[in-house]
Amino acid sequence: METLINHLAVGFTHVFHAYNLLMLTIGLLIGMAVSIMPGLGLVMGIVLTLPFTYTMEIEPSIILLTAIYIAGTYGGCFTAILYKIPGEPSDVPLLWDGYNMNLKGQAAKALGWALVAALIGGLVSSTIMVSLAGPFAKFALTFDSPDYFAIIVLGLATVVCLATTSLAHAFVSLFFGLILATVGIDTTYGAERFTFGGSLLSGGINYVTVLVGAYGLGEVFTRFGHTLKVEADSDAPGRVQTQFPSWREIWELRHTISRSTVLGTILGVVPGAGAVITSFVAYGIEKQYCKRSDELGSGIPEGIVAPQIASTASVAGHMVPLLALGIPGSAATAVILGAFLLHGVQPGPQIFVANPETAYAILASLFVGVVGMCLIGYFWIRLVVKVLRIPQPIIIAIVVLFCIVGTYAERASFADVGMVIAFGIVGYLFERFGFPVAPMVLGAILGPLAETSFMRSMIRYESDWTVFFSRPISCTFLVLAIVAFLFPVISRMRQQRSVALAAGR
Amino acid sequence: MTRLAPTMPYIVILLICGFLYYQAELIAPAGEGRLGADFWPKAILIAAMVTCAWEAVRKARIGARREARATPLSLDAVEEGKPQGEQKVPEYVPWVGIALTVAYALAMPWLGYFLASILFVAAFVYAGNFRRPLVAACVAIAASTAFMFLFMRVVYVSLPIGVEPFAWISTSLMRLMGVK
Repeated sequence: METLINHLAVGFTHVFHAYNLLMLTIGLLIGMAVSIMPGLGLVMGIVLTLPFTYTMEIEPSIILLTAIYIAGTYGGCFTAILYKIPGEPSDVPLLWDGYNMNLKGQAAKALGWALVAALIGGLVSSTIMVSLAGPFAKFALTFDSPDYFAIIVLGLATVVCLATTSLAHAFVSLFFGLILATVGIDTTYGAERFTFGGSLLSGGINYVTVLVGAYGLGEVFTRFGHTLKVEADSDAPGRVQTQFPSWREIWELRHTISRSTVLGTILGVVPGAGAVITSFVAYGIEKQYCKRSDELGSGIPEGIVAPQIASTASVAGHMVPLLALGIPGSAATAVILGAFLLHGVQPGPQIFVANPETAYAILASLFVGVVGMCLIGYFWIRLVVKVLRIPQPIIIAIVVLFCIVGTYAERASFADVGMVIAFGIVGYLFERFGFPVAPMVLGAILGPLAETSFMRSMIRYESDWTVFFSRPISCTFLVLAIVAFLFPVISRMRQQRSVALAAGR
Repeated sequence: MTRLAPTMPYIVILLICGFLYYQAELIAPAGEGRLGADFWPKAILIAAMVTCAWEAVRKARIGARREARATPLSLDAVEEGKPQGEQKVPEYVPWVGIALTVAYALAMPWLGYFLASILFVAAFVYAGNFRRPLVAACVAIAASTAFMFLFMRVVYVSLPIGVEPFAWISTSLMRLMGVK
């Protein structure tokens, strides 16, 4: 415990370095701005900021991206409550009670509840996860290649199963990402794969181009020509102020607060269950267990507190497995993993041994980020909300500049620019035909890790397949992966059966 | 034919996977009794082909309409959902955006970053349903200049300056910004 506090204290001193603090503040502002703008989102914010980190040290760059991630789970509550526009999909549950509180003339109170929820969720979840990070990393040091392979399979399984309406589409997207990751020179044998005899693909497909193309340009092409109309008669900007609930009111919601914090933290650790899933599940749990469940949706604080706490709590839940295992559980952490790799650092248990200052600085930035986000939310939100007034065509044109110039900046290569546009078109077509993008991106990032762990296991254990099931850790993760695969299939069959029964009746 | 239409995306992907599988056959195999560099991509391609074949057959059997009726609402329906207050646009419109972006990337080596960006932003904003040409032009100039400053002066990234006579404009602007 003492070591943890010492490490964390050192981490805080790193975060409070002027440059790191500046990056954290910029990250929070970017996170707020992108989460307020519908169609941009926190993942795109992180993706677009990634090129600016090329010339930075590892610490400020990860602090910057993490700050965007944290603020991205909170900023959207303003537009959800005031304008009925969910900046992020995770803000959708806030519409039901947040906007209704606004209609009752309690907008300031609703914003106050969202702020308190984000603060509690962020701080409690960060405390839990940071205290678990060390033991988690120590445990992960005992992992062998089959265990890593099993964890990656579990991660990919949950991403596929949690994030889509069509399981087949998610699988196709995942396989596409995994195939992209195989292009170029194979790391085990040095064989060329899918290069078609040219030099363009021999270096492999840079996953940054996949990320920027599919998330950035793909979304831009999908939204091109759309105009967003903010309700003209809304006098919401005049009401952008925050009124804190009293201690008594907070105490009355203690059950909701504890339920949602625990849920957000636990679901955050589950790969694939991002802020969207956690906020919806937290709202669903409230619907079942809240004392005033009948009133949920009519504009009560429980409907704001539960999803907001859970989505902010999920950030720490995601960041710690990324740092301790090197495995991203969400699209946002996948981009952050990309930033680590760009700086030549592989996150994982070794980072806590070889570079504890950096690891704990990033963990400490979670606390500072949560507090900073709430301060910005309280004082500067009037300014941040004004980004909504910028016309969408201008925003998306600027996003294209970011995507194209950002990609070019990495290697000064027009081939990369061509590649990013190609993946933008792929991202648009995926969206157009209902294929989720997240499994493809995670497949492209985790594919090499999965293949390396698999091939290493096969070489080390002389192609003995049973090794994945004979080791307790890998067996446990693979069983969980199988459960993750079967769960949506079974639940869909049950739903179809109940629909058929209802139709028969 | 209408019944088979929903299966088309899967058949196209199936054919692409088949072609890639053929390409994977050309990857140098490993020695006897060992898994080679071709194993992993082949395994993925087989899984992809099985998924596509399964889905194509399923779509052909059920028909897209019935499935749409039977599909329950899930989280992703909201995740994929669009913000409120948006209007639908014709299907060709995104392709206009794609064409402009491709033209931008092709023009950049010739016109240089600055000029290409001005033209692109102005055209993109106008085509994106923002019908105020003067504002669009001002935004284009401001955004291109700001980006050039940000990347060349702050992040120290070299951007394309184009060929003469366009390069002259880029280099003049760079001199003004104090970029060597």
